[in-house]
Amino acid sequence: MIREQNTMNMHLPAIAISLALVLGGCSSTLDHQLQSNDRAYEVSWSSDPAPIPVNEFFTMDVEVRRDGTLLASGDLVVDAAMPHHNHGMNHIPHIERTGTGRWHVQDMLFHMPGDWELYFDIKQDGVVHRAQESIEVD
Amino acid sequence: MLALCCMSAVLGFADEPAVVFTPRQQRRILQHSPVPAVPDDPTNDWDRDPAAAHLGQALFFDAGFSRNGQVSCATCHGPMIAWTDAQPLATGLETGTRHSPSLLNVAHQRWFFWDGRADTLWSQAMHPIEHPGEFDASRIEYVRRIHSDAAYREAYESLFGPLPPMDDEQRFPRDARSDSPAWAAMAETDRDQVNRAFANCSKSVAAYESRLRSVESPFDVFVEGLRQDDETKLAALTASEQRGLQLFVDEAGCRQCHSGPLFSDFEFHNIGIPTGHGGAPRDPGRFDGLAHVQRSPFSAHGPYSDDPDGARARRTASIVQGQEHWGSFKTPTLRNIERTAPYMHQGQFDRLEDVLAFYNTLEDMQLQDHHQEMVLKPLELTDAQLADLAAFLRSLTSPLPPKSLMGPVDPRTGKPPSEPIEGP
Ligand code: HEC
Ligand code: HEC
Repeated sequence: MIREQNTMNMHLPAIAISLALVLGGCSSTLDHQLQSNDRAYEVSWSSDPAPIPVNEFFTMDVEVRRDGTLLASGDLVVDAAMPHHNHGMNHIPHIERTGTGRWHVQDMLFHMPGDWELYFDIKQDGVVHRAQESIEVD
Repeated sequence: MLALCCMSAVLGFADEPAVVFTPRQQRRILQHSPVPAVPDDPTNDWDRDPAAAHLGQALFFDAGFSRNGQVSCATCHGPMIAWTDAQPLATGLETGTRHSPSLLNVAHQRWFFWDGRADTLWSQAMHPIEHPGEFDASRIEYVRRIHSDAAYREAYESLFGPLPPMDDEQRFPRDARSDSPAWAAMAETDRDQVNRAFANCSKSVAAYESRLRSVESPFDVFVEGLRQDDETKLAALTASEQRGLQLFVDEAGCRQCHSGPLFSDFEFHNIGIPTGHGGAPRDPGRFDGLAHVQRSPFSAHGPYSDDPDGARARRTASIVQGQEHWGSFKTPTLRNIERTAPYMHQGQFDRLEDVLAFYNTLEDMQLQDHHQEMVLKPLELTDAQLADLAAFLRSLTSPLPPKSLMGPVDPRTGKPPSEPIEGP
């Protein structure tokens, strides 16, 4: 009995970690966290390089959750603009789903220093939910 | 380094008030130097090949490829004037509608031409050959000349393998320009062979152009001084040049577009300068350029690219097309700007002072419509500040590339043609 209990204890953390990995956990390890404007979705993202440099291509990893669970359906579009300048990015970013609720984004380029708005459009069941974040690159 | 991060640097001379850079200004200044190594071009397997650069240099200076035998690349990109021509508008067989840019540091660019209608340096080099106002020649005669000239043929074949049998004039008809019925009537595989040989020669020209580096200016010495906290190096810029630098990275907002070590974002903007011909702008600039680059068989995603599935190719395919690109042109580098007058895509301005006067007042600015990007505001600087800004721009002048790159060479050796060729 005692011996079995010990074994159980030893395995518990490992089981917890694998469970967390399988279910996608309720929180993200990515640097930035925000909510969609209607508060229905949580978006987490990080960039490489970080922080985002001026006029250098960067990639992003993005996770989207609803009620703490990674999205099993739906699409994501990532875009950005400089509202004060009246222009967006010069490229359409390349977005690839890498797993449940996870995406990898390539060809992001903030070609000018200044204030950018980063947009995450989550499309589920025909409805688009937007999350957005202001980023200053300098 | 610690001192640099935590307090403002005070840089000055005994007889002039010191220039104080804030930590933010210093961080921005460091972004402009040094110039990194020439980036690798995965779409051109020969971009680093010295033998290809020799062939390319020979081609660059050879007027024999033009219809009248008098125009070479160097006609408009002359090495003695920083690989440009000092004319407002370029003249080959005819006078064109745009100004010849300098080729110094050109391999750092992301797009080529004022409108970015080429996405690689090698595909750019194909355009002038068939341009009616420049060489007014054809790719088929270009390749035939390589084939019939012993030195070119040897240099070419040792790099790229056998040339197509250009002496077969049934298969490769004389003067079959790429827009002619004779070209269209050729076998597709023969056209492909000519295209490939033409692309290979252009990749060699690009290998030569990649060597045109000029990156060690007084400004770069100053930035080294800033990094190393070295007084002697900091003295590379006068107080006036330092004040100009401070305006450049801050109040004057120049780094919004003239960013990074080349002082260019390599992207496109409409800054509304008055046209060279007077009246409203007629040149669509980037708006046409991006349509062209996506269609061209010689772009990074085409069959003649050595990396058709790479990042470069993907980015060409994913450019955003928008009305705001109408009339926008590529931000030119400001390195060596003192050497490359006149300025702008039509050579509208003769002197740096004229350029700065425009930014200062935006007088006669040509506004498009509500689609236009809105960045510039009149700077309203004083005459003394404008003089500082001009002085700073003149501190971006570097020594030219070595003499060995300034003239014709034997395509096999890269040595001046007069020198005897060593036997095998
Ligand atoms: C008749 C003058 C003329 C000749 C000859 C000529 N060029 Fe140019 N070159 C120009 C002009 C003008 C432009 C800009 C044209 C435009 O943007 O539409 C240019 C642009 C370029 C660019 C792009 C630079 C940049 O910053 O985007 C490169 C590279 C270049 N030329 C290389 C060459 C090579 C290589 C040759 C020979 C095969 C050549 N040129 C022949 C006038 C000339
Ligand atoms: C909105 C982006 C932008 C800003 C801000 C900007 N420039 Fe420019 N600059 C350009 C573009 C684009 C061109 C080429 C325009 C053309 O030919 O139509 C240019 C051209 C120039 C030229 C001529 C270069 C050549 O080789 O022909 C100089 C010099 C210059 N700018 C200096 C400056 C200075 C100094 C400032 C700050 C006061 C500044 N620019 C601010 C985009 C910008």
